[in-house]
Amino acid sequence: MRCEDVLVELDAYSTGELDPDKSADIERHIRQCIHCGTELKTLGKEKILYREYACIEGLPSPSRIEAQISKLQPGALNTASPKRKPPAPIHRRLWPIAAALLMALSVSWFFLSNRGTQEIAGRATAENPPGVSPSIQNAMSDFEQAIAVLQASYANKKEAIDPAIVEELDNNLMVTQRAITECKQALKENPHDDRAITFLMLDYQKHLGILRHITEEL
Amino acid sequence: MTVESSQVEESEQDFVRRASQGDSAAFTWLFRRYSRPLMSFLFGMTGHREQAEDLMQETISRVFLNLPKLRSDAKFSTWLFGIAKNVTREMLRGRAHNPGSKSLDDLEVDTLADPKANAEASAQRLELHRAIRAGISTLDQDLQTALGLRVFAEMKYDEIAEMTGWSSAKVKIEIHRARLKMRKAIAPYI
Repeated sequence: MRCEDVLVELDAYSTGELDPDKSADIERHIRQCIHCGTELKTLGKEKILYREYACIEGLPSPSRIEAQISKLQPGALNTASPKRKPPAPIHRRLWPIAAALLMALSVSWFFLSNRGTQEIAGRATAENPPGVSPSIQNAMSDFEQAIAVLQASYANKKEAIDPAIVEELDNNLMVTQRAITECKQALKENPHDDRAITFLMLDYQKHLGILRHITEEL
Repeated sequence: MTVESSQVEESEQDFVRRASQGDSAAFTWLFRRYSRPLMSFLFGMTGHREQAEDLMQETISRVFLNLPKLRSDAKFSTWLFGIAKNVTREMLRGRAHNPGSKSLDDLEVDTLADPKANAEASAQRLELHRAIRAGISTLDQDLQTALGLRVFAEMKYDEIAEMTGWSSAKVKIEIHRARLKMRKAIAPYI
């Protein structure tokens, strides 16, 4: 590939948006081309600058958004409706819990084979939202402990990994961590929000997937 | 598309359907899910927090009014950012034609003035802010929007292509061009 073609694709490459063949072509090119390798690092630095610029503390809170929405057209939305929605079919209400349990099982292997890391894991369980069911709490704890252990392993390996790759991995981890935090915030407000539970489990799985990739393949 | 992302999209479609039928909890949930990238995009494009919040409010209003018209096969996030993009462009056009409005420098100082921060850090932040604003102002509106969707809203290339009506290749080329122009402005900070 020519440098000019690589440079146009570099950003999509760095976020994993290219098909595997094209991605492999670019990877091969970057290994041999100092110029494009440097460009990849510069791109990472630019992303941090843009993120710093657009990062604003104290986003509009959920209650503020709700207040704005309720002001739009009083009565048009069902906020004050005395009618309760009929409950979802039983299989739909149970699926988030079943998914959480399955995912919790999928991470338990990790602890069976990493007993020496219990000390790190013990520090991992952040303030999980109160009021969510014990099975979900357990799944969250399992995920968070697994994440903490892999995060510690990643921290130890970091210096040996190409800084451009580290930067990209850190960006990806930041995105999934942000999604996890938002779902937990939603659960703090409504511990029985099935959708938030579903998204939380998927986001945990993504976060863990990135860390597993780092520790097993890099 | 992975199994996970298709599950997420299915759930989101369900929320969109409920919100369009008047379920305020679903509507609120959708906005909470997108509030961070949306605010980053609006702030990135305007450089001013209060204006970004006004635009957020306007976006919420337009989404509320038009949600029932959203096609069932349309992707909510693409549609939402399309509205935010239009709202922002209207505001930027208005700012250009309103000589009585506050200058960009005034707005920046208002936004970034933090009495608790040390003077040196504030000055550096203000310099970076000005450099990025100056860089953005050198781009034409289409490029501003495409770059904003990519670097502030962190949207994927195919989503930007869908929203702008450009081909994926054109989106990549245009954003690459925009980045190169921006680099002249932000080079001292890289």
